[in-house]
Amino acid sequence: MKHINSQLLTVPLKQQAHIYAQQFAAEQATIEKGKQVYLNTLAVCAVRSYLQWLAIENTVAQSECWHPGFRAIFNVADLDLPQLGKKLECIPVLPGQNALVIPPEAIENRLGYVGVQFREELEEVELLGFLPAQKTRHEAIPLTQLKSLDDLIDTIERGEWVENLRQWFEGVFQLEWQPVESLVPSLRLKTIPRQNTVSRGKIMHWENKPELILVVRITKTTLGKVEVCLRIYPYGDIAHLLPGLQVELLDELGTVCMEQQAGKKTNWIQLDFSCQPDDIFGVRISLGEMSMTEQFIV
Amino acid sequence: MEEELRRLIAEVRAYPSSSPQRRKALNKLLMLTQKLRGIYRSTHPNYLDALDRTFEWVCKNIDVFNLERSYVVWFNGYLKWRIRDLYISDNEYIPSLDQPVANEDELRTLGETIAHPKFSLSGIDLLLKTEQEEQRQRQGKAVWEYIKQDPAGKLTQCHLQKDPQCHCQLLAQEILLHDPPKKIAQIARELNIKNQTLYSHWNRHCIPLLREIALIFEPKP
Repeated sequence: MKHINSQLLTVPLKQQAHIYAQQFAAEQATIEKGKQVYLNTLAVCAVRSYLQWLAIENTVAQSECWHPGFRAIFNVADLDLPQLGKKLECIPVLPGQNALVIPPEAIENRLGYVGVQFREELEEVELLGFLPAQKTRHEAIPLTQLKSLDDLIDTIERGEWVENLRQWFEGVFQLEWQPVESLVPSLRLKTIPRQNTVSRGKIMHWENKPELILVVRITKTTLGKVEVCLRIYPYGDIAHLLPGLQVELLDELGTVCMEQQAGKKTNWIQLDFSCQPDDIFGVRISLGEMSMTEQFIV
Repeated sequence: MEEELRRLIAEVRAYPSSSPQRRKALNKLLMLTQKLRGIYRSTHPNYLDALDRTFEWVCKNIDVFNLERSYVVWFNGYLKWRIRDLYISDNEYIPSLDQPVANEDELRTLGETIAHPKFSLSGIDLLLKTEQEEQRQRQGKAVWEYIKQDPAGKLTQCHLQKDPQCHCQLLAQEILLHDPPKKIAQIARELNIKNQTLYSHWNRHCIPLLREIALIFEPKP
């Protein structure tokens, strides 16, 4: 196995971790279930410690494993990263086990999975590595496929500017995303509020160029898909976009899927497409050598 | 090792705090620290907590570490101080230069006077046997009873359209309550249902329903 030779980080298990683990496990119906809850709790506490060392904000306040109903039903070990609106799943790995077992209930809204290696003595654990959330649903992933903790840091860093569109349907917006009418007054009369549709806009700043407004409208369809309509407007009293302004739609890997360019008298640019839940896309706005990108997750 | 250590400390310091580059360099520094000879070890009950606090403190304070001093002494100084008092503020810590902060014998004696429960993987079963029996009202047990009884009939009503026998209660018992838990693929074979059909029924209908049920069981104040 790969991880024997490579460097791993050891995390001591605190007394408080054992106190929580014991308390949560003692509520369970059977010894086996109790053991699962015990190890899940320790795994979450260990990953918390590690994130704490690196000053990465995290909380268990919204964790399912910290809720008596959820932890009794599901095999969950989730840790919230509130800045990202995502969870890290901390998966215990027992001695002799060579795969990470991901329960189906631990897939939704996960940024990824951290493998936590236990030994017979429950004094410390080793962090085996990180697996970014992926769409393929393997229930067991060989430990050799785990990436390093550096990949976790990169994923968290990239995630920090991914706007979570699913939260828009629940009325949760980042501050910079404002009601469209307040940004583009001419749209006030044209927008008809509809169920399952949310629109918000954001001012995009460049150096030495007039600001733009990016408007995103999302609509839930009956098939579980989300229709997205993006528009770029000039900000303020300016009537037209700068000629040559280019707007591109990027997929998760950064490949261009759609593009539009402003002509001499273009009032706005629009891109329409539909997404599946968990799809990640980016919008790149560029003019000459300047460009800015916004990332979204559905 | 010493040279590698100094290079890593310089690397960490070169990047702004909270930057991914700094955090990655801290990863390396922490891993190297854990391999250093001379890092203080103890059987004191506070040791593991203090060690955890020390790693956090090192990450926060590496910028003020004096490169002309010994890193291990700097590390152990805080660690030994922390072992003696886990809960006072960092502000109270005054690193004394090269003087060991605490006498090792003193720490050890203190450690031996406090009972130090040993936790182990194979000990969990025994521990839980007593702990679970002691709890009069076990919420986890109540949740399982709910699933087994299905008092509102919600779980049995949530079934595959073509197969009323394949309902959420049955699946929850097999996948979540059964020991060892059964795999969806195994149940699909047993019930002669397509794997994908069962998987999507479980994910789309059963998990959300079970989440609703989980919410009935409020955390105790």
